[in-house]
Amino acid sequence: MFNLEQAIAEWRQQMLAAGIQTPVPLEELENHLREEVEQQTAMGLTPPAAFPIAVERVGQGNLLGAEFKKAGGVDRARLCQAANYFCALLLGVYVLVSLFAMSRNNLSRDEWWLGLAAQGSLLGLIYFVWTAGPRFFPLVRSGRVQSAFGLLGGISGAVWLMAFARLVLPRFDFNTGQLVVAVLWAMVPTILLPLTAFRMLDKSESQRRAAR
Amino acid sequence: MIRKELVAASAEPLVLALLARGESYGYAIMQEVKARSAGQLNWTDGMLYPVLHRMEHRGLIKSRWGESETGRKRKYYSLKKDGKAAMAKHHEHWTLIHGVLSGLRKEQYV
Repeated sequence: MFNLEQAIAEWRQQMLAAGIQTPVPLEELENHLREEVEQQTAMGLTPPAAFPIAVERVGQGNLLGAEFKKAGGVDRARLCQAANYFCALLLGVYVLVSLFAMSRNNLSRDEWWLGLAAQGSLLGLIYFVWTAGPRFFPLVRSGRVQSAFGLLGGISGAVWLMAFARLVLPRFDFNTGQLVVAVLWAMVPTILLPLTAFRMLDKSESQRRAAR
Repeated sequence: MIRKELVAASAEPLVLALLARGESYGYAIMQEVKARSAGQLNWTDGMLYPVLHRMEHRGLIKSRWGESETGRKRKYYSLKKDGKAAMAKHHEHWTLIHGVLSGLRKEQYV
């Protein structure tokens, strides 16, 4: 007596043996198989007759396994998207923290304006780099050069901040309010440099994807 | 029957064009392609899924698990922004090839 569930369980075993992974894509293939069996039976075939036809249509496990292997790999598109969201989140946190710092350090009216100007400049420049920047960036195809740009962008921000702390700050005798404003302005290139490098990589990556 | 190389090359533009009409899932995509080509575009059904997964990895389409009318789990695919751009490019290329072929064919009969 033919048992469809048992036949599907045996088919699943064969697929697993051929290297098809579960739950994805095996669940998807099983759904396809079931729909095909339903379609065939709706057209008048009995389940024992419909099942081998559906199995043949879905295809051989080893061939499918090889194709799925080719389709795998690091999901760079998703990584880039996640990195975009992460950057936006960090930026939001930075703006909130700096506003909090400004409100807690008895800034004068002028210092408030200068501090807000630093925040405004940072956000304006980021907007510019994000929207208009890609038009001016070179297209980087090589993975190594891409990594080098990313590294350089990250380091340049940190190097600038260190230089500011070690070389610039000691030369001035700032009061607390002035110090907050100076740090806010120093943060503009610190954030902008790595972000520009990241945007450039993002552009190269999306063009590389589109070209495939 | 259409040669398998051509079938393979047309898989991505066809999937993109079908998904441009709205969200869909593997079995329905396959049925639609078969119906529209009167069975001439004959894929091995299972081979559609590696194509879909590759397109998803490349950021052309996205997927979500939903439920079928019978309550079974089903993976739905839909087009992303990059997918729309890729579809426009495919369309441009296929139209060009078609134009060149038609032009040459016409010349033969002049």
